[in-house]
Amino acid sequence: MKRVLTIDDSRSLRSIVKKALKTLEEVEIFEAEDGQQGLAAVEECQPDLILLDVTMPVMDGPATIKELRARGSNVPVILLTAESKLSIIAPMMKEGFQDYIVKPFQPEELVKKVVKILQTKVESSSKGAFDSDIYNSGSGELDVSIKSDFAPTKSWVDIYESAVDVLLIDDMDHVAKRFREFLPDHITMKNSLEPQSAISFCRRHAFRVIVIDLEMPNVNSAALIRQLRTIQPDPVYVALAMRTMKDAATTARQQGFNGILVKPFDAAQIDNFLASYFSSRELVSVEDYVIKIGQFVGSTDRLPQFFNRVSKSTIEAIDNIAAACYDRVLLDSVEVPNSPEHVSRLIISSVEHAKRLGLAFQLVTNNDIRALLQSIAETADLAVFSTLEEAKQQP
Amino acid sequence: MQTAQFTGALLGILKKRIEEDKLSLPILPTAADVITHSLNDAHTDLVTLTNIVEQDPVLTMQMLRVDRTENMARGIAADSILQACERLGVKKIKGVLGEMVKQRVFNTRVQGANLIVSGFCQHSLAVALLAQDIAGLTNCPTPDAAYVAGLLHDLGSIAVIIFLLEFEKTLYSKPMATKPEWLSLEGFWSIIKAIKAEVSTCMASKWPLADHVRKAIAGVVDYDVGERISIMNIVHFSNALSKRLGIYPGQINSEEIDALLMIGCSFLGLEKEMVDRLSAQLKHRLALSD
Repeated sequence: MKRVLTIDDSRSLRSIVKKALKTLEEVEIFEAEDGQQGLAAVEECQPDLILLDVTMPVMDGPATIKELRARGSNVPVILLTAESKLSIIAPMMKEGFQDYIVKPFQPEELVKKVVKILQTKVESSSKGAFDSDIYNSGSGELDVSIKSDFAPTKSWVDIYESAVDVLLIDDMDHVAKRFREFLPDHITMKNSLEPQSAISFCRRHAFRVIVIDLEMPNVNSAALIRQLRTIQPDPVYVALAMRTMKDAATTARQQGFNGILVKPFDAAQIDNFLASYFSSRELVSVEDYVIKIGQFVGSTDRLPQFFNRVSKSTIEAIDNIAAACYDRVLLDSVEVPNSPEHVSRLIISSVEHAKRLGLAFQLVTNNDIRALLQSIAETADLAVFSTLEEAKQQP
Repeated sequence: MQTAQFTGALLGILKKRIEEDKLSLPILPTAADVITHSLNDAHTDLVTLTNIVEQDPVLTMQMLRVDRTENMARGIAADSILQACERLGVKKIKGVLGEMVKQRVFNTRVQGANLIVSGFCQHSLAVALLAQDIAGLTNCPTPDAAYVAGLLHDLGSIAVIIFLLEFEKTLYSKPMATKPEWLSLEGFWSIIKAIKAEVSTCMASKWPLADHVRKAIAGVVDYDVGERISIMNIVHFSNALSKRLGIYPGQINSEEIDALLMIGCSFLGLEKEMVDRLSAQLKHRLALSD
């Protein structure tokens, strides 16, 4: 259990802090209404973190932290105050505090900063938040923060509300609609017509791929990708440009994009996009012992690559089903494109692999494929069904 | 040399020149070379000229002043350097730059003093770039205005040091039996610190500039509590961050800078990881522009 002590002369503020931190499990909140009481509380409850106001009667923030350090305490301190004058805050740096929150504050800011401190045990109280390699230009000074054994539970605040596959930023609404039409259903997407909402999205959702139009009016795409990378450095960034834009690929590269898409969209291009940035595992989804093969999007000349990826993912899925001790595999191939040669090869390899693992094999497919399989020796006796429900009802 | 007396006299001259709109600042030799090259190139267009102007605070200041004078009838100051350049047009910009290129910052005999000028210009550019990005991140509606404010925030200091160099040039160009003792590097810095605030305030009040630019030049010590997400607060934070990254020619007070950064992060709603990335990006961009 971690202990947080709030030292503030405002009862309502202490109440707000208590309410905000209530969302955190394994955190106990203590209170004091001035520095003197706070120092007594420190002796008593041995807090892991102190939230300290600056302006208080009896004993103010600066005097409190000075006395705290003089007594040999290295407990981390976050200043939680309306005071922002440099002449008052800067001298407190000497005593060492880890962070600062200005009042009035958003509960999210408080929770994030408290979580961060409680997750990291600060060895030296004199180390400031901005004391790390990046700021010391290779002075060789190491970050003294070490991870404590305090690990967040599921009830802790996550950084993002959700994970989304694609963010498309283009000033024309129809572009997003058209792009959505090309994407398989399982690929999630958000779109934004302008930078401000895109930045807002990136603060709330984790994206895998971010697509940015290079030619939005009054928008500096180089600045926008920079700003978005500041918030989310991990996504792949893809530029979007008209086919006729001169030197689009060069411009995209110079601005730091990982790839480029051109408008108007076509299936082959989108297929390449999906193949490049989305795992082939997503072509195949698994629930319990049921493997569902997803849609194919693209031109027919890309069918071999599609089936190749699906085949690998299906084999992996069968391995996982066996490892989970199911006794059968049910392959739902209803949405598989009608390519007899590829489909039969896929099903034969899946059946053989399931047999090797001792799993019974069931297949859901259409009548054409059913007829084809009946004509092949290896699959003539296969249990084939028209619907998933029908297959599941069989023992 | 009686530094206090000299400092007072220097301040008086500078203020008079500002008030009479007669202050003309020379430019860095590196900027002059770039301008010369572009003026000789027939393909130089508005975008190229704007890029040149927006890298240098002295060029930017001059262009904004010319724009304001030329477009007084419009009554609205340009929000960005691009806007000012668009209003002036290629011909006018080339004319202004052509005049400016004739005056280069004097190469002082005082070791390190020339680096103060280029150091301030580099610092100003860093603050401008940071302010622009942070304005975008914090949904401040005018990132380009934040860029301008950031670029010009230290114009007072730049004016003082350049003026000192010009004074040295004049002093030592005159034939004299014995040359008077000139300033040391510490002397340069002590004069800058002594009078930059007053020079900045004078510039801010006398020159016809947009509000946010005047406030940036005048400078602040504390964040504006009334408007957390504001150009002033963004520039104030960017200034502190640039100093923390070592992109500043003078000495810094680490405790004050760290305090400003922590306070600023809370005011502007910035997380430390974002600030780290901004810092890394900035270093990369400045390296590319060198």
